[in-house]
Amino acid sequence: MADGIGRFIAKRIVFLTITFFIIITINFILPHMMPGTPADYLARGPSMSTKERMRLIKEFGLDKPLWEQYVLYIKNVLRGNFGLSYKYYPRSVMDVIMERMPYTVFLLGISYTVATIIGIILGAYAAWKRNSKFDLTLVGLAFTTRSMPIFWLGMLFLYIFGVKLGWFPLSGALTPGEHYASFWGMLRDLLRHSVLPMTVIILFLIGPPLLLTRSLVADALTEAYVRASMAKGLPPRTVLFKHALRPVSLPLSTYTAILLGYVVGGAVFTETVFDWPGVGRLIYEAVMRRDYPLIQGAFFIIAVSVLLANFIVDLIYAYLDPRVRLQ
Amino acid sequence: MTKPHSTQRGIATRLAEKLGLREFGIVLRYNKKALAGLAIIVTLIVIAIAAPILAPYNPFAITGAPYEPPSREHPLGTDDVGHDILSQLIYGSRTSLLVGFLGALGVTIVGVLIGLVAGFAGGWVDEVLMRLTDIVLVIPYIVFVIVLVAYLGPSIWNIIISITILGWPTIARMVRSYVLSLKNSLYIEAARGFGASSLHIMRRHVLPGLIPLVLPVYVLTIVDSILTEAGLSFLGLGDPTRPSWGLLLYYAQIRGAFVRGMWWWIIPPGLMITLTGLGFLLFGISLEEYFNPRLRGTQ
Repeated sequence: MADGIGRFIAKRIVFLTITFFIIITINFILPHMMPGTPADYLARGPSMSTKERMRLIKEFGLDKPLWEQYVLYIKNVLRGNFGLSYKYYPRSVMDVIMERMPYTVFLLGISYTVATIIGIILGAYAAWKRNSKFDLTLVGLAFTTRSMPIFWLGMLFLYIFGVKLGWFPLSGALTPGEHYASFWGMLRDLLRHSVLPMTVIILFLIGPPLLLTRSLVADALTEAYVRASMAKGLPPRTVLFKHALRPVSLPLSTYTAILLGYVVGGAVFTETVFDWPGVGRLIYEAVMRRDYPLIQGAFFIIAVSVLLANFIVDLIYAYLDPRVRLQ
Repeated sequence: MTKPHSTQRGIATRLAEKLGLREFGIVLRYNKKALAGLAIIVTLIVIAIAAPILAPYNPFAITGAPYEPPSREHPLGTDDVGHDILSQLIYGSRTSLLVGFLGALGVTIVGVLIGLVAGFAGGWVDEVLMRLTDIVLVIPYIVFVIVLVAYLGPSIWNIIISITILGWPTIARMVRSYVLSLKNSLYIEAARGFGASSLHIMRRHVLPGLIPLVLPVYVLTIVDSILTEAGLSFLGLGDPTRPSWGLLLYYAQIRGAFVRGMWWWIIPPGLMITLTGLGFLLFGISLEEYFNPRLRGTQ
């Protein structure tokens, strides 16, 4: 039994390592595909001094043969060295990203959790009341948010609730220049700023878990054991959440993991619209300034975070599903 | 000269029968979802083709003062330079549809090829291709496309290439498992027993089953491609030489449509993207239900 789970985890670690190196390699190749030399992309901030440039060229071996550059690049990445940002010169890329990271984790962590829970609950009830007005409204909502550009939804929210009604601040995560008397004061300000972006991300993310739960539960409801629990006269809530939802929780959990990459995409757009100081907004800033080291660094950190999150979901999955353990 | 023509027609008719296109026509009459989707798609294609006739101005010509509110001359006002917003909106349908159709086509071709190769070759080829599929699936799609286009440069062709590079795994997996199920089926074995060539089996038995499998996914992938183009344009990575809905929203955002309260600049482009996406989504889902009756009524 332990052997099965050990093999499963070993396989996932091999996958994790290979993917990790592929992400590094993509990052390494990108500047080589472009016209000019990699030095033009890595070591040419508008305000960079000659001394700094020489140091970076030496650090990344940009005057050396390709394979040596590759080895040095891997070494540098493992040490967290992505070079210097053009835009935030003379700060290092890693430094800039790490400062932004907590904001994105906060925004996405809460919206993703809330959206998944609400999506599953609504999806289960929609399956219970198939083809009712309630069901059709929810499905319509899920379809619409699926076809809607998230940044446009953000712009509408910003325009209506920010500009027109003035209920919420227009941008940022905290009021600039504000001095907080206590931690709670700061938290209150942060929450006030996050209501709009969070609502937008939640609306964007609620569709997929809702539709999936709805179709899985609809199938489960035709099963004999669920019908038996209905026949016993159990209330719908018990039938749905204690009986119908349990066996479908596995396919649901793999699916929500696939969704992680999608979540990150939503963050780039939402953070851009609401000027939220996270990593997503940072990618936009980097692209606008053609700040190549920053673009690469942000891509690396995001890709690796998603990879690790997937790995964790895999572990939970192995723990939940006895078939994996017994293999 | 008549012969190839008649065989071609023969194939077309046979294909139509196989896919049950006539039956689909009947379905269309009763399925409101499919009908609504198709209506939206057809309307958009007409708008895109007739853009020079429908648009009041050249989308890149300066035809008014900057930031004009809606008027008879400019039904949706003008942007910060004095371009007519309605004309840009009408021409924008071309960019969206082009990227939508071609991006999804690229994804489908690559996906089908990889799926077929993995399924038929088996062994280590299959193993390598499937691990590659897993890897591409973990890479965050939008972020990677942004990075790629930032390096390759903003043009719709680079956007289409990026969509293709990242989009294929879903179709590849589907096609692979379809091929595997065929490989084990008796009728293929029987066909081989009768001495059918691989090419014959491919044409007669594999491809006809592939179309109902892939066609709905192709249509659904159009939605993603259109949204990707809009998103990239919104981030300033759109093709600057072509008017697009995402680009309209990008300029609206950075040139202060908000502060000026210009909702006529912000609402229409997003509405067009949403409607287009909804059209292809509804049509794609109806196709899926049509080819796979088990799904009917579940979506």
